[in-house]
Amino acid sequence: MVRQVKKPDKNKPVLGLSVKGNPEIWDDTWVNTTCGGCYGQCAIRGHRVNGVIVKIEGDPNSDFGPRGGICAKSEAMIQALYDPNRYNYPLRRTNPKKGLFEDPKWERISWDEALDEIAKRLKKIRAENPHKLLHGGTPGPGSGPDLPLGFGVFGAVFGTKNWYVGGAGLHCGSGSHMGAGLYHASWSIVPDFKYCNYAIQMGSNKGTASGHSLGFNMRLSADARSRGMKNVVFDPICNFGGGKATEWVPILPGTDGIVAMAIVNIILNELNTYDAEFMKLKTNGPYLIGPDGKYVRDKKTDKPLVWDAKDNKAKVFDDQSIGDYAILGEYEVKGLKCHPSFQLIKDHVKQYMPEQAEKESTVPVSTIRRIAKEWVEAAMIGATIEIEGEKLPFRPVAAVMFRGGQGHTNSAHSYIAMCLLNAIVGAMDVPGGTLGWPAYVEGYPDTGRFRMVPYACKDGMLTAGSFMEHRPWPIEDSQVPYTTLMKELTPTASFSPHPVTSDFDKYWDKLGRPYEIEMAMIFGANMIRSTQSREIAEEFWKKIPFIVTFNILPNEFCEGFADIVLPDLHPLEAYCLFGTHGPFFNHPIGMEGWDFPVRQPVVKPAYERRNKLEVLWDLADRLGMREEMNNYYNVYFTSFGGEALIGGDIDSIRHLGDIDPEKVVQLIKPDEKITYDEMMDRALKFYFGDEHGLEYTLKNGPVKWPKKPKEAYWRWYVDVRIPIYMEHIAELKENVMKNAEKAGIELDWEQFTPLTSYFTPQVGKELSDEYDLYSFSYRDILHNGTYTMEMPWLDEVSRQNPYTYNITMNADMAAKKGLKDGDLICLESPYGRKTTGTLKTMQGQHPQTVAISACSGAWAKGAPIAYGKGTNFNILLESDFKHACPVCWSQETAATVKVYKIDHRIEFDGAGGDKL
Amino acid sequence: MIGTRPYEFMVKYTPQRDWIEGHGILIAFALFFGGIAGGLYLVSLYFDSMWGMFVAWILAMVTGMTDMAHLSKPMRFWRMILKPKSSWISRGFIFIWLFLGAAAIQMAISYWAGGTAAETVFKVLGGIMAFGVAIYSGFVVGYVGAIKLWNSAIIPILFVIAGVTGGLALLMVISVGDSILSTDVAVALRAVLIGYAVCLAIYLWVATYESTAARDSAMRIIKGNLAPVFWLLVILLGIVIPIIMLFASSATAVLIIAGILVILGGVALRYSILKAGVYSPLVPSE
Amino acid sequence: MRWGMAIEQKRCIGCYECVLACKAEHFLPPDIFWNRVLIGESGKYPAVTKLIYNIRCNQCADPACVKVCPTGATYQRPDGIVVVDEDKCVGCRYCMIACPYQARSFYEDGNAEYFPGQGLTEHEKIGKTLYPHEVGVVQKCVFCKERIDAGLAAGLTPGVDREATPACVIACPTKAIHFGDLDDPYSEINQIIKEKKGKAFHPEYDTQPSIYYID
Repeated sequence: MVRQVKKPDKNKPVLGLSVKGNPEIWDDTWVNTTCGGCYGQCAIRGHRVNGVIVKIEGDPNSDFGPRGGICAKSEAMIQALYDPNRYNYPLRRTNPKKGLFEDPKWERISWDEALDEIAKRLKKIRAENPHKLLHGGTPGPGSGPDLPLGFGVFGAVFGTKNWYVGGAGLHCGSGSHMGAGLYHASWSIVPDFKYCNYAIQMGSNKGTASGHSLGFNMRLSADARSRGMKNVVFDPICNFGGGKATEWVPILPGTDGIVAMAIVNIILNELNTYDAEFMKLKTNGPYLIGPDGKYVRDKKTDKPLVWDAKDNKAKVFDDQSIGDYAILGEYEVKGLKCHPSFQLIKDHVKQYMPEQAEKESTVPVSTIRRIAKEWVEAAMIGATIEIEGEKLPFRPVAAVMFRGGQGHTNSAHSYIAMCLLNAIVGAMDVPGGTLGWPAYVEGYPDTGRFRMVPYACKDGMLTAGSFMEHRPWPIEDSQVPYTTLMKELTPTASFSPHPVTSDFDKYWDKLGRPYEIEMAMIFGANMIRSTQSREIAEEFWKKIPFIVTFNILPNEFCEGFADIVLPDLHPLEAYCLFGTHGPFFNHPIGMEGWDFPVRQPVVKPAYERRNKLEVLWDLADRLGMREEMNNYYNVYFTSFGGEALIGGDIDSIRHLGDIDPEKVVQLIKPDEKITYDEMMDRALKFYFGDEHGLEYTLKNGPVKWPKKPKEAYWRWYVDVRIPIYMEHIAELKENVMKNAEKAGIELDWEQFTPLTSYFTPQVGKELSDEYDLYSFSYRDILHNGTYTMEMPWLDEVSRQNPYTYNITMNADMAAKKGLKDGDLICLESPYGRKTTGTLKTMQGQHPQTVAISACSGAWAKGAPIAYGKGTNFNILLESDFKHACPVCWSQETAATVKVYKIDHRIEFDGAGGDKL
Repeated sequence: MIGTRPYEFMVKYTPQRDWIEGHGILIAFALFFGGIAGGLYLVSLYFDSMWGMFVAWILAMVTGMTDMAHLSKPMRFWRMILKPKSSWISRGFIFIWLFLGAAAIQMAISYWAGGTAAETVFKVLGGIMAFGVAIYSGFVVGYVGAIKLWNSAIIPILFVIAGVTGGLALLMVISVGDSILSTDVAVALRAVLIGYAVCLAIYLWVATYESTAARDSAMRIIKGNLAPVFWLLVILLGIVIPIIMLFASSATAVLIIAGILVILGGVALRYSILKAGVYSPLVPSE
Repeated sequence: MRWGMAIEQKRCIGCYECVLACKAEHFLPPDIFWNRVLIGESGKYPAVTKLIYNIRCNQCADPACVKVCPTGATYQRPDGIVVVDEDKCVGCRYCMIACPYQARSFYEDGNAEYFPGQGLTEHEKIGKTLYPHEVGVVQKCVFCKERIDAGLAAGLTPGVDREATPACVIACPTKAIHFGDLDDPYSEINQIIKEKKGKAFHPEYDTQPSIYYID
């Protein structure tokens, strides 16, 4: 290519770029794309000068992000793109030993050689038993729909159900995803910052640390704070969430649930105020519950019965003649004494007195009472607001919880308890209240496509138009475990820690060891540092004969365990269709417009890096799988096209046979072998019209259109209810217990109760005189996953931050233990797990806790910047059923520890790098 | 008290680093040489010692060279005289050049045309410039409002007295061959040492209640990481032992040792003051 | 005309993008920062507030650094921006000593690499052509004067138009930083400072900083 050298024009200044002198500039291009720094996937613009990316800025014209601004992780992507340590060619391990600190002794191979070998092994496994393939990873630097489109569909066609998302349920939260799916048809929840006046955050960082929707949350929450929104943050540490609170309430990890229950108790039973209309029409509060704890059902239709207070008789819940739903009292139906579930809840929460909550959580009684009163006053039950001509209920209060609050063995109940707080004042998906990420998309006005509408399903409950990973509703039946994840045992589970656990073998043995995992295909993940307990993980991964990984940067997992590493594209050199698995995952909330940013390369991929989906298609061709995959893609795209043919979740993709082929639009012909950008083009045209294909989108930006109030605040536009009484858990329990027995699994069956309750988390049970402090980790805005410490800019500012690379403790507690700032300390769990780091004392931390930000402590030799920086918290965690929530299988993310001074960083002994 | 962790930058008292770490240590020497050059010339005028004047001239040259050695762009040194209107370094450089000129002429005149009016004129001129050379570093440091320990009216006076002390000590060592002169100088040195000690004590004492930052600095010197250097080199070896020695004897060896110790103490003084300088935090912590 | 900033503390979340946007914009070498984020705490447990301050050169109206510079390399432009002429700076660092806000940096190691021992990346290399830094002199925030000057020449308004506005201001995801003309009584920045009671940063040093903080 001949470079057109433009002589610098002294009269025409270079705009939007600081330039000294008169350098030659022959390429000055801004490229709209999406960030890959975290799950936020904000719309960004990359500035390319003379073929090199020099700057990243937010897209000022997109609601999908901070509108022109961006966070530090995004800027630092430049350094990840150009990191000299990146994987550039396929590599093969020549050191047969695998382990935490093993040197892989990479040998460079060609793509053909790599794919031939991988395909050969895949063929063999597929012929024997496809379940022997374990595939997965965390979406990492944002694969968006590549997750289902790539690995999900590949696995489904291949025939394996062993899909393992490492670190999920640890870095995020199965309780959240279960609960938000059930109550909001969404992946998580966030206050409606535009109108909310009083927000409660329990172990969450909305707009203050990395994660889904960080981009627009930063922007919206800042506006809210500036406007004077009250922000009450329950958090053991006053750093990110607590740092922007109007009131920081220190709390012990895992006890948020009982505080929420105490507040609900005060509101329902002392203040006697609640949104009765919401209870009657939008929840299963009026559903009659029999002595067995389950619905009293109409014999003919099997629908749950309610009591019509006007006609004084029982009717099915959706009977149009119902005059008034009774939510209190005791009634008799066919000789059975039964109560509306709301009555049961109201009575049940009486046991959660604020005094008990204080004892468990250390939150003072006065604070709990005051917040309950403030909550109810601020909720303005009965108020309405007009938005764009639509009159809507106005409830400007929102209680949200994410990772920290529910990252314990009482995850499901803690999360539901907080949802109750919203439900009893009707602050769900209405202006000012708690919003899920968009669950209602009417579709692009011109085509009516990309449509996703929540609807009522079994028992009138809210069902998501699209979801992923698990189906929140209707609940599937429990099955005897047949995958190594065993999630099918408990259908309310979102992610499973198995099989990378210390007790997996016990259960697999009891089941007769149906098969062994012989191969793993992992992308964009660090299965040895992002997951709990590297010792337990090492034992598991060491045993797998053949592991293939797709990665951008070297990490501990690749080095220690991968047999073949394939070089992945960095987001700045890649295409990706959208930045989302669906609007319910991370799209802007409230009245923010519909926006579908796409990713395109700012620079062409260098060396032999390849798009991982095209690599998968290459493999699919070698296995004869491409035709079936094309068919799946057609179903996937069509399902957003008009009818919710499938849920979009990976499991429902497998029910392909049930779908009427007439309804599927054939975007890709069976025998076509298209490229990734061709697929993008067809999908974009299908959704948004023939004139809005890839070329148009890349040049003019994605289509945008305004949101309607009924989409933003859909709750009262769709006739759906939510199960505040979790009757489905009562229905499930018996079968789960029976199936569990076949595998020798013992869960905490007490938690399988339909009434939201508080259970002391496992971490609380492990407190003792010797192990007297709770240790936990939390999200940092500078970091995401385990790769950000390798970016020199992020490393530099991390060192300038007092908390990011240090272990923090309350100053008084540290003094009591004879520790001071700068000491090298060791945290040791009751199970003998040890991790070390430098101490920094704080006032803003609960005295009984020790905190570590993110999960640093890298030891990979291929990541020299990250090596030894910060502390690896996950070493302290256990991985087994005992440390997982029995209902949703979220991990126990806190550990009790004892703290003492140490002379060197023992967890690096054997790592082979510099002595620490 | 250390306050050197990267996240404590301007959050705890932050010691200055540019004029003491790495190349920065040359500033301590430059301050010292400036003081002793000016001080030696002045006492040489008083005691009428040609050798003293000559060594002072050399030391003034060394001051300039030390300053230049500290620069990262020494070839641009000539620019440093351009801002005497506002910069004490400019003024100081001018003083040094004028002193070198005046003192050279004065020494030439004294050597070849001693006793003339011209000699007196240039002695006066040289003396004024020497005083400037001795005092300007005190103003350079004292002008810095950001470092409370330095931002004191006492510091220029302290630096002059320290310079005169050093000058006397050096003259004493140079003139051991002339026992009358060296004894006279020794007697003067005894007295000036006491005055120097008093001035130093007042300086540090006032610093402890001038502001919290000055107090933090003073505590570093008196009790903190600089205490060994201060108490051992500046006070014990630099003041106390020489005073005792000089009162005890006038033997040549005693004079030489005492002189060298005083000089050593002088270097340690500039080092301590530079290293103890801290900036007040911009953000309070705990 | 006097350029200034107003920073809304309530909005700032301490994400460090202002720091990195500046590093990217000017290809700053390792360990050199033209602006910083300082983190502190106030209060005693449990009544604690986290303090986050984004600081940079305050482009003071009465700058201590300009007065002490012996060569005149540090000077103040008519629009208030304090600048270092890299051709005149001798590296005596008096300006660095004199700044009460410790806003300046000294570029010592011209061979520093972001990936030590692994050579310069494409990004670092192009930086040396687009925005070279002279080794051995003092450097600091200049309110992105190149952006301002180029923007004004093209008829744009600094503080309003992105291309003419300092990189840190447009990079902030919470829009915490405002930029404008302090000498214009009707400018948006003056209105914000007045309405929200912006306070100059540590006015006791008498340098009249041009950056105001709003609690």
